[in-house]
Amino acid sequence: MEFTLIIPEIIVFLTATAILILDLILQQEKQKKLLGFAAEAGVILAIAQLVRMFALGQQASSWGLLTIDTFGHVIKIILLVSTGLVILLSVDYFKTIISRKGEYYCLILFSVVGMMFMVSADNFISFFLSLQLTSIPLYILSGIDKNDARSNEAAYKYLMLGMLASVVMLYGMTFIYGFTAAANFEGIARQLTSLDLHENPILLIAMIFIFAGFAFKVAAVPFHFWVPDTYEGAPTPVTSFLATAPKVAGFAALIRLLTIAFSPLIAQWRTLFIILSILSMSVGNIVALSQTNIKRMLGFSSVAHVGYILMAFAIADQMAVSAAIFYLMIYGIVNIGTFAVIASVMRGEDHQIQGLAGLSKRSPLMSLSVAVFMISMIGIPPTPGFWGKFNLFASVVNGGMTWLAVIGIINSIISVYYYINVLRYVYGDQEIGNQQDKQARRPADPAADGLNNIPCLMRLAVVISLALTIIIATYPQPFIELAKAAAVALKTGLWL
Amino acid sequence: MQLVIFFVLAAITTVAGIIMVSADNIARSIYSHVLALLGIAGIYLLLYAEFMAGVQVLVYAGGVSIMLLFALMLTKPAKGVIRALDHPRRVPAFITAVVLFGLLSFSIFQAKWPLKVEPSRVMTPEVIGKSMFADYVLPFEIVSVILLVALIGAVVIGVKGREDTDDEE
Amino acid sequence: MIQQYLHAYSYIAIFALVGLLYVVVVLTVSRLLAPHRPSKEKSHPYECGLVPVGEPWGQLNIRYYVFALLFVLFDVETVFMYPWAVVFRDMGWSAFLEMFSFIVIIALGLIYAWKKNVLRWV
Repeated sequence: MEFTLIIPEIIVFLTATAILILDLILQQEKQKKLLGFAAEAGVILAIAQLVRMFALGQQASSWGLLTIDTFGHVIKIILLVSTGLVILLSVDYFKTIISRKGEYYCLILFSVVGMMFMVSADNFISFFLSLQLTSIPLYILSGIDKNDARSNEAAYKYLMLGMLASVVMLYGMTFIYGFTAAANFEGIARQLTSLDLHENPILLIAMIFIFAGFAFKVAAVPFHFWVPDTYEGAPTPVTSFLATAPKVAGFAALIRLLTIAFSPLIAQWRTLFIILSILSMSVGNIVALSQTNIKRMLGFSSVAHVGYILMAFAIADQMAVSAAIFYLMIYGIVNIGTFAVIASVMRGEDHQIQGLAGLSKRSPLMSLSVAVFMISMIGIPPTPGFWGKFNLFASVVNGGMTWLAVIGIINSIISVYYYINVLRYVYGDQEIGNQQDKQARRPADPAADGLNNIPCLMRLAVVISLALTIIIATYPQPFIELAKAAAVALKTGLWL
Repeated sequence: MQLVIFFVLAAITTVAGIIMVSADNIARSIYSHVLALLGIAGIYLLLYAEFMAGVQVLVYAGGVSIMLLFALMLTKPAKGVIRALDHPRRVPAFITAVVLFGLLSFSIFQAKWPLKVEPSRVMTPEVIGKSMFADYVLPFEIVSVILLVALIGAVVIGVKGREDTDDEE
Repeated sequence: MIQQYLHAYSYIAIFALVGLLYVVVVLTVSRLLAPHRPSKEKSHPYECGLVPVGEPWGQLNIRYYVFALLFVLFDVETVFMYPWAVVFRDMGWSAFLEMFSFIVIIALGLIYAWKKNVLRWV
């Protein structure tokens, strides 16, 4: 049967519906913890199935406006691992905060189903619908803590700008369809080769519109304005989800769209991505310098990371794309790890960086994790961040754009300041924190007492992220091979 | 003849659109929105997209407009002077819109559209149904999931849960 | 065929035009024939003969919004059923199963809303 190809998606979808029904059956609030475990079980089952499909190594096959190939398998595994960590983090975090736990897990899983379809979509129709299925739950999730005004603001801003971005993207797609009379990526590529771009500037505009939609979804400058407020306002586990999974899916869909549908226009879009990449890196890093709220700071730092990844599109050869996929893996794990630490040590506070002062004295495990994650984000060897950046910059140099790699390296150096600043608070003397801002320390105290009983599942989420980070640091080769296998599997004419 | 009908419909749509964004009374703006949507439905008919026109009338002019009216009735009635919808960045926004419009219409007229054939058949529900239930099964099912998510989202955001405090609405 | 198609829709155009004209004609005739003597009582909003109380624009409970949204959802569902009904006989079981799962998924949402007491009219 052909629908065996989408078994992982079906598993996640059925888990989501099962949770929805289970939520109606379970009456007591205490039993709702089960829902989280059910979600986790579904995600693990889907990962197992994906690993099996990956190991079988079947040829890429198309079904129902999707292309199921190794590229999709690898990306979906990254997606589901991040989702699994987020769910682990959520179980205890939301114990008291939100009343609608069933809906929470259900929406996360529906969003993941959308992302998985989006990664495989090889047609504008399936792509746009799965993008909507991805986005709508995310708008709701960022506003799920209804008693928090900031959460409401986060959802509102994300919704308004997100819908605008979707509409602009759809408008761009209609122009492409008008020219090519094809909605599937390969058909578009066939038609585009025979068109003269200089006579049809509208093609360029259409492409820019579509990229604007993508740039919004992955939060690249100048479409990043929703990032700080939404990251700050959304509950921390939701922020960790927002910062990783949609970006991984968005980049994967962008890779498929560019290398297949828009491959004839590579000369034009490469230039666009050089601009987007430089803007995102620089603006992200420079604005992050002045942030005092750690979630806002991480938001801008993620914008900068998006900038690094976009460099790969400025080259767009096989090496660059596999480097981008590898970078996405590391970015996902390290980011979720960082947010997991924030969620465990800063519950019910305003997330000022000062709040982390003296963390090393209170919790050695958490402070060690913060240190590893921050150093990894900077990209100092031997952390995975180093391998990611090394591969990425090497591919950019290899592609003949040394100057772009140099801009990337300068930006990485700028970023050292604000990442180290976090560690300065974590490992600094508690007294320093006190002297600097007595007011800011006081609200952190109740949380400091609560530190001794960080719920074990949150601790587990941090430990798993830490373990994965250390594994990639020690044995990067298998993961690099995985990313390479994903890039090779793409059915594009560009690799020849 | 068709060109004349098109321009009449386009004029209705554009005028209704302008009234919609410039009306002081939101209810009035919603009703002109309905008119604009009906005008677009007429344009769909001219393009032989019969089914699309039907959908436009049923879902947009019917359902979505009713939802807009409901949303309007949920708001607190404004007392006294309604704050003018002026924004300090009105001028830059206007310039941006005009430039974008100019750029788009220039390139649309400039472009050598490759397909200038008359459609050989009208897009009847039958044609659409055949392709929807044969080739577009998956998008069709995704739509149902999107609808489900929208419903859950409305309940999550709009309806009070057990633990939500009372002061929120 | 195209001619026939446009011809069929010309009736709608005529109908809309006649409807519009009717409104204009009736209003003009009434303006011309009726005596114009306004008084304070006459300009009150009509509320079955009683003196109106409160503002005309009252605030509704947010619950009603869910009903509006449900209406739109099932509206969209109905729209998909038109093409389905047309091709159902030709396509047989596959089309039936596709529509069945579509409806089941949406019905799930209805059950959910029902169980969560969203549909209770307060």
